[in-house]
Amino acid sequence: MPDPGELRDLGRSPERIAMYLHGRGWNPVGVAGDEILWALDDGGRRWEIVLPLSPDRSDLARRLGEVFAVLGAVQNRRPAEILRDVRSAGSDVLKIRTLPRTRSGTAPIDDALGLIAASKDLLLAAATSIDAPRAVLGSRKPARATEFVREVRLATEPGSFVVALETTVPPDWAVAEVLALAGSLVESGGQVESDGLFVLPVSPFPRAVTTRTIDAASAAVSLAARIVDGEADVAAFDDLVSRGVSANFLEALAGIGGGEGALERNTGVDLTVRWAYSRTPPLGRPATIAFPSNVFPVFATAASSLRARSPEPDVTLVGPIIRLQRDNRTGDTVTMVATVGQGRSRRSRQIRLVLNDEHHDLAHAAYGERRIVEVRGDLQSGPVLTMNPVRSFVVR
Amino acid sequence: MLDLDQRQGRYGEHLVQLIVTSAGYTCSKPDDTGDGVDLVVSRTQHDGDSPRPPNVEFQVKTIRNPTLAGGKLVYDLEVAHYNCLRADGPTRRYLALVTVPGQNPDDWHDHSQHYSIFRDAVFFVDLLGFPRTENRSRVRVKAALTDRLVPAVVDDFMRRAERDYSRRFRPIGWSRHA
Repeated sequence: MPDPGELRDLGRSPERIAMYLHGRGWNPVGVAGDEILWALDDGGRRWEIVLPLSPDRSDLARRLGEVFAVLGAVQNRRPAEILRDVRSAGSDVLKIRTLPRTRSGTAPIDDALGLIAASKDLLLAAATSIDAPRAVLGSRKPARATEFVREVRLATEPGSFVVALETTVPPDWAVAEVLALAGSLVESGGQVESDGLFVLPVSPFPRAVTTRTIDAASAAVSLAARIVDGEADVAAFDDLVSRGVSANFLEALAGIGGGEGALERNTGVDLTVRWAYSRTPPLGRPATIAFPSNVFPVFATAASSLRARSPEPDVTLVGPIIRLQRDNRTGDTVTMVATVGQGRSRRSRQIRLVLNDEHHDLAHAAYGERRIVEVRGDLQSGPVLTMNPVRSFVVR
Repeated sequence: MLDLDQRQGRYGEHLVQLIVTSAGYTCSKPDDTGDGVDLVVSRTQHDGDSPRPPNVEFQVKTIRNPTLAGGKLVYDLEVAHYNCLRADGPTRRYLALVTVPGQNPDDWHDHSQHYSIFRDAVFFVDLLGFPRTENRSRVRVKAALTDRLVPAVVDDFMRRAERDYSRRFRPIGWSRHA
């Protein structure tokens, strides 16, 4: 049985329990004082529970304990597991499960930190691609994408090593109605879209990101499997850009796989979505996407391929000029050192700058005075990392 | 080994559980949530295990030196527990008073080839609607010696609770969106 303190805490948000019950097919059938009677018809058998709404009741924990006992019996699950689901009932939850060769619930610290960083990059890439789907996403992300990622909540769960990413999704009209009937306030922090009659097909941004992540990951793993089987080429990833696949997204997936040496440390990864009970789930999406170990190197290769063929727009770099070379054939070459990349792939690199005359003079001065410069422009991969064109050049 | 007070307390609770089970209901000891409920009696859902509302709750007090006054069993109940038992609420609560014969636990039970006896008796007190008290520590409550908690009484409590439950909930005219 869940801890009484946890139950009392949950009892302060009865709307979460109501949302969960509604999402699991229970119907509110009666009201008395601060109690709602819920019923579930299960193949001709009727289950009943009484949900207390007042957080001040002295028997709150006991009554909620009974609610979870019944839910556990109906679902054949441990009440503590159900309580975890109820806590996040208003959120889409993406669970990334890795199978490290360590005790269940643990992972080597570097792998765990890498997984968390890659998980954040994955969501940021998916969120960014909604507004601006590109093969390589710019370092400046749309404001609502970065705000969205800031609102994501991370938890770990037992069972192998599981990172759960929770994003709150405002309720739709159908759920808002049941919450109102349950006599509870909707404390969603979001808008309830309703014309008073129908469920509107408006998808809030957090739900759009979850959907985008699932769609892009599903498409990426299918294509990677075909590439492993020799049925497709990495260039085919270009066709998935409109579906949210980008070099950034693929790098994040590769990072989730654990990077180099992952095959020895990790026997597989899967991505599971549990849609928020606050909203009707989208149709036709897989609940779980399994990533065999052999797709991760494909993701890394495909990301490099996309980067090599597509400039990364609007990148800002900061660092010193380390070389000025005169070349009669290609003109003057200016090279700087700066940190590029994201997450695990973040490292210091030499970058060739293609400058106009004005910027060229500034570069000479900065080099002579050993000053740091800040440049902004499109970054092109290849044998030599190049910023071309450089749109802004500032000596600090 | 339990000390005498613990032994007496648990003995009383188990005796009440035995009576409830004999009546055909499930009886469980809930986590201590500070409101003095020692046992919860309920029907079961289809799985025959998980509780189905409504419930009846008992606070159990076990007495090894019972006192009679005016032909009734008396007990000095803590004010906080008295207030919980007298207050109207969605779940019916009763006080169960278990008497055991003295300080020697060996005297509390007996058995032969054909029977087991657990002494002495269980009484109930319904304090719902009793007046407020100005007392700060304890309130004297009385149980009629005819108010024995036996399986038939438990069954009656549960049937009453079921009737109240059916009447209490106002139907919600709600239907699920297609």
